[in-house]
Amino acid sequence: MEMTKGVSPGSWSQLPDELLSLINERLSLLDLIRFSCVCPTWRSVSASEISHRRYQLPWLILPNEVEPNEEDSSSHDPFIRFGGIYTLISRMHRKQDTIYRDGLLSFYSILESKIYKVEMPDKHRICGTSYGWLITIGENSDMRLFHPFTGKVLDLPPLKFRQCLRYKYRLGTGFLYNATINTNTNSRNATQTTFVIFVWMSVPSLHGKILCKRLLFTRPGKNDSWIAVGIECESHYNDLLYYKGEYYGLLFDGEVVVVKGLADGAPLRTTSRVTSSDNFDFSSVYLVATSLDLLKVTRFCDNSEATLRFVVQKLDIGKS
Amino acid sequence: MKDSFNPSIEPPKKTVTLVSSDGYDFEVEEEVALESQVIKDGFEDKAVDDREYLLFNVHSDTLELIIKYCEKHVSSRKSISAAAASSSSSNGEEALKEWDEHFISVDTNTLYDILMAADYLNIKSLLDLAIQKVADTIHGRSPEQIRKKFNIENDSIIDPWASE
Repeated sequence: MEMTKGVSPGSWSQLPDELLSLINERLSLLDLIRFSCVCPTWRSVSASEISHRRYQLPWLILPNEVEPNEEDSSSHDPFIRFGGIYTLISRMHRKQDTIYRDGLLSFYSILESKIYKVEMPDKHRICGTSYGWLITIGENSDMRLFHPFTGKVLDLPPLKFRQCLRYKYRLGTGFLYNATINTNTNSRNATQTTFVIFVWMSVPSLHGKILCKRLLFTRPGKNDSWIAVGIECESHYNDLLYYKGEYYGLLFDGEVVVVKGLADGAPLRTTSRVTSSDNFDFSSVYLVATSLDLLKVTRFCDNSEATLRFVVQKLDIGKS
Repeated sequence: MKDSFNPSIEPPKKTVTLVSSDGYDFEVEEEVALESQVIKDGFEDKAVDDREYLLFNVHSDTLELIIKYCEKHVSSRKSISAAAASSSSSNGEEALKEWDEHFISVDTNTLYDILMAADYLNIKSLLDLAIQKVADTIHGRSPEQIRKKFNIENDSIIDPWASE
């Protein structure tokens, strides 16, 4: 019998872990992310290297066009976390349409002083980022998840609420403050992978009065609509975060709440308090997860928006 | 220095026999075989007339390349240190690097064989070279282009990012 050489289709995907790790060490973050998209074996090996590197400086999403005459651009928090990998530069929804140009989305890597351009499928507005995914919304309130490096698109239920959304989108004022995804990627089995997507929206009426403020969530493949959490017209949410199996919301007044009961198909629309609220003399407040703790970061500013100080509080999430 | 080879002591040429997975014998100089850390470990304990290594994981085609690489590196090191001893200028390092680059410019099947053999035989410089070649090949390519280049099937059934 003739001996054949060892290379057959799939050999590369079955390369020993230690060799794949050696290859990983020599890849830039961008190449590493692409590497992780090649096949499940490669992904499982690169996961730790990626999560190790995600603590490097994030990428920024760049608007392609700067309109100097646009007013009040400085008065908004410019950054949204993007899975620790890159960061969205603008919550200013009127700016969003200038982010894409020629169907390309630009990322700026601070460390490399380099701009990366990624093709976008269409001109959806970005309303949030998490785990490397962009959550986008179109003119007809159709929502999608888009992964800029793999090009994968996942359709979400349309986010319509009393037909107001589409109207407000045209107006260009903000209704969708933040969106966050949790993916359960502990298992390599896709059937056990679940997304939970939260959005926080505020629907103003024609005259600018807020009609409705809601926190909503959906799980692709399980829910075919958005499910509201809590009662209407409660406080604004400032931030949303998935941390160690729980979903945390940060209310406008600084209060942190936990959203429970999503897991078993019977969504429970209650919130329970983690910390008491603060007074109002801060500028912005964020939830930050570290490997050990859940932190609430409060930023205090003076009248000219210059940062005076930060206060970091460790949240006692044991009791809720 | 990482290599224990000392050019000032010329030992009588001794050879060892490397046997490929498909049963071919390769007789190589001892110092060439010793480029492999696996062969080097415990080499002295082996009886001189028993210096035969059965390389079950290395095909003759690959072994030929590996031996070529090791011979080149042994001889280059000699000429580089000879040039250093006579303090004459030498571009040996540069030339060797160029040679390496040419050596590793192979199709991905051959690269796979070299990579696996370098790992199996523990030849660090060759392993480094092959790993870097893989990283360079991945660089700038999309996942689909990488799959094509390395002949990897996209098994979307267990792809958690699949939109289907």
